[in-house]
Amino acid sequence: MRAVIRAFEVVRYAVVTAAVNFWRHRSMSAAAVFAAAVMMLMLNGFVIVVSNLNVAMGALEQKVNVIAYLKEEVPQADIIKLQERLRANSLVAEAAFLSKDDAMERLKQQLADRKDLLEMVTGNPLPASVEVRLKDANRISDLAGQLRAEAVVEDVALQQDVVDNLLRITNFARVAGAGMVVGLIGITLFVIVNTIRLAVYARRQEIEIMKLVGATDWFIRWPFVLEGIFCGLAGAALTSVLVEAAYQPMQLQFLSLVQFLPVNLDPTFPLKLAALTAGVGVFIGAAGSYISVRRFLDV
Amino acid sequence: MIVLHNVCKTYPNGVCALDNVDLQIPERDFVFLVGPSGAGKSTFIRLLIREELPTSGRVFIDGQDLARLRRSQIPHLRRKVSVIFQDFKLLPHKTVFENVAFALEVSGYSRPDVQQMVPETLDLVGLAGKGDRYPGLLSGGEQQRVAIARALVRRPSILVADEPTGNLDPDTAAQTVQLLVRVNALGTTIVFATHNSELVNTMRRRVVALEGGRIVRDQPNAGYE
Repeated sequence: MRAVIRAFEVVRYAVVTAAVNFWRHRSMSAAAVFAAAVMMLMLNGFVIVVSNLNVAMGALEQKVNVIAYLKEEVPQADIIKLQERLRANSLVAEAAFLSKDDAMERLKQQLADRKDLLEMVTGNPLPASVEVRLKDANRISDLAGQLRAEAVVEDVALQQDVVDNLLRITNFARVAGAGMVVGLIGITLFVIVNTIRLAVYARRQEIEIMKLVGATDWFIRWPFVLEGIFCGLAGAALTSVLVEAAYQPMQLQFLSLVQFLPVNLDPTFPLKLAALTAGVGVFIGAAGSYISVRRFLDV
Repeated sequence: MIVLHNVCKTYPNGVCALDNVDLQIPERDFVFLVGPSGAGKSTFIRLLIREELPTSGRVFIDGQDLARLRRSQIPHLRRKVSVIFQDFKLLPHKTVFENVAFALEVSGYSRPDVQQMVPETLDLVGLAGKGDRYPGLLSGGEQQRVAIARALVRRPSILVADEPTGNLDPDTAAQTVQLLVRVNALGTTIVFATHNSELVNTMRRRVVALEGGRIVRDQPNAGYE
């Protein structure tokens, strides 16, 4: 019971001290909040761009197919077996069988305006095929190899160049986005560390006395860490309010410009983004304060 | 019980502050630690609160070897061994009451405990009714008594005073010593570092004299010289 009371008193002390110090050094706190908000605004921008790019690329990736043309006169049973094997294959998202007749039907639809061309076709020269959509476009060569090894498969068609280019863009966007996010977190951390360091420096005498009267390291650290968290959270809140206000109009603007590109229309996305921002704010504030106060604890 | 066993302390710059010091201070003792500036008094005190570790030899407090304390145990040592300083080390933006309560808050005493223990201690040091003043408005002697109250409020078993009368006029210094004598009578071991010969001569207590880092004299009921 006594331990519980003490723990409660320590928490109460830390929260009250952090709040008082946050307010007492409000110009410094405001600087940290503002710096965190600016950085997190940029961070939000990158997350929005990257996530929309990911959605767009994902949609394009889904169109990547491998087509396996089947040999003539293959028994129906073998085709069914091939389809079953493909559905069990971990690389495959979807496998659709297209019979000779289906292929002809599709050609007729595609050439509906050029009946003259169709009249030149006698019989049905089109092979039956299986159209395969991959789970991961990176594995396209693996799957093509597997399909070529199938006895019933005559030929495999894939658009390697298109796929490669698409993948290059997607991967570059992801890596560059992630790199920028990491860089921005580093810069924000640096700003918070230096702001809290000023606050810690202003209170170094207090810290020295706390050590001398027997305060534990964490007892000294907690108020500063909380103060950093306040700064980070306030910056995150400011950022989320601005992003929330700007996101919808900007998305509409963007949609009206490029209608063919799919964008992230997930209605929970702004909420997820705000949660991510808050998480980053807490982490950066806490980590920044921890780093700032560490040097002053060696009394 | 404080025990120093063959303690040497050499700082990284080569200065030998303590040289082969052997000393025992039993519980409830009152010891004057005397000697000129640079004799090693401050280093001695830093060893007791483990601000420094000896280069060789060992320091024990109540049987605990301070070199073997983990970092997390140091706060507990400093709750047992309180220190007061020549420059008081009070927080100017906190009231007298808050300065004293600070020592309780850092170890999570409940508010009712704080409300009870702080006035008791302020009463003991003769500052009853001055809890809501700020240190800057008090005399030097009163400030030192606030520092003593802060050191005492958690009932430490050992109180170490580092030149506590250095900034005080002779009358106030004498009152401060009288206060520490009363604290000692209540059961607290006192280690009193000073080079105020008049005080030491009046009190006739145990005197440990340091010179050049060595104990040159250890005498009961003694004077400064």
